[in-house]
Amino acid sequence: MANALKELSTSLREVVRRAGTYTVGLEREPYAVSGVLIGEDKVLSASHLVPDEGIEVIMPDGKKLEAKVGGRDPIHDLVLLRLGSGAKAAAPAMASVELGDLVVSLKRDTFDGINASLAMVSAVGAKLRLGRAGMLERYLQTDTDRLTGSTGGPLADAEGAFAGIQVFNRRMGAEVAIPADLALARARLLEEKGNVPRPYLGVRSQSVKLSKAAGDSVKGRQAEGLLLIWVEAGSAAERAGLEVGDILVGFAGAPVKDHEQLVSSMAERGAGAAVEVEVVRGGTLRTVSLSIGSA
Amino acid sequence: MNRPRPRARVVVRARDPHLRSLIAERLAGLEEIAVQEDGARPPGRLIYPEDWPSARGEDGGMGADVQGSRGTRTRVPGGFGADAVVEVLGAAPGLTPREMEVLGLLADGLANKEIGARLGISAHTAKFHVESLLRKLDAANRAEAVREGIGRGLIGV
Repeated sequence: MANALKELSTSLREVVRRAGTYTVGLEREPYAVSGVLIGEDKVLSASHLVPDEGIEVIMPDGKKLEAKVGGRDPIHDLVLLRLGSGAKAAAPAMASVELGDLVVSLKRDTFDGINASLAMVSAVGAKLRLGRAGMLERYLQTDTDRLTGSTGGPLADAEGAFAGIQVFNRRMGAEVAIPADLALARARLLEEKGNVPRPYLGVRSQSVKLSKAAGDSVKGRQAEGLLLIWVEAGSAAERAGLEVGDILVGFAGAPVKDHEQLVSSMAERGAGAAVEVEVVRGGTLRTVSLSIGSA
Repeated sequence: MNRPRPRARVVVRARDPHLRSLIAERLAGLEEIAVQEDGARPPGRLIYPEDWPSARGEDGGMGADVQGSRGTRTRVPGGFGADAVVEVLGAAPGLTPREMEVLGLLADGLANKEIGARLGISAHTAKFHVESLLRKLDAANRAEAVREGIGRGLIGV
């Protein structure tokens, strides 16, 4: 008869071995920090724990390589590091995990090499707004306390594939993991732009009810809008001709009924994107073109 | 997470009848709007006609020609908010200027220590301001305070 525990144990050993091939360590005092080797010379880690200079990365083969910051995304607590010395790593296999899945959390430090712990995905959060115009589309939480020094390191799925990166979310005040697909998308943005600018329009607004005429002008699709009560001089909103007193009712093809919708539309499009914006001015609907600014 | 927020009610106050009708016309998209003759500057959050670039005259601050949506033109007497104000009610939770600053820094994701460093106060004092903000905005945590701040028009996006 097969011994299930023995099989589980053998599988776990293989998971840890595979995940160890893309888990790196960063020497930091007083605690170590980990990172994920995402291919070529690129390492992803937790931004709040990584300094601007003097970064040394402990590679899976034990070698130490110097690295430079390639870009930071503080909203998601991610930092992209670029390794020196012509390092060229393979990209890890990627996996997506769901609520209830078992995952392995890894860290690497100078003394012990890899440290690993087993956990379950205990929560999958959706659409968490992180501040003004910052949005975390999805995040994972696990049911165990994180090993000291594993922040920045990976969560691996039951086959050892890269499923998430462990960061700290200051706004939630909680340890969360960013799913691998999102983390890699942010890494690509960091690689292109050096940092991820926060989309910014330069308006303050309040939720208001539309008059019947204004409701008709948007073909009855909504009864609310955002009354602009402040437009920043020189901002993207001002350049597009938006004025105090205008009622914002549409953004990038979607109706805007409240602030949550505006903020998530802005986050989805990102800074620099050109969008059409609908406002009601003097009771009539106008469409203006706007290029989302950054702050 | 998203609790219903009271919608703003707008009150226009102006002594000059032309100005009153002009502002009311401009804000015709609003369901809840009250137009009053009282020209006094009320407390709370205000919109001033001077904020409309299309209403600003050549001479800048001291008076302007206002173009209404139906093509009417009115001379707005000068002075900041002296003759016409548009008040948006239901929003201002009575934050101090310092609390407004702290709220802006919360929205940028700063911790108490960083807020303190930015404002030249101790982390302890920053924490005190944050706690006061949470109370005034009826927020359970910092994320909720930021969400409320944006929703009430206190934080720019």
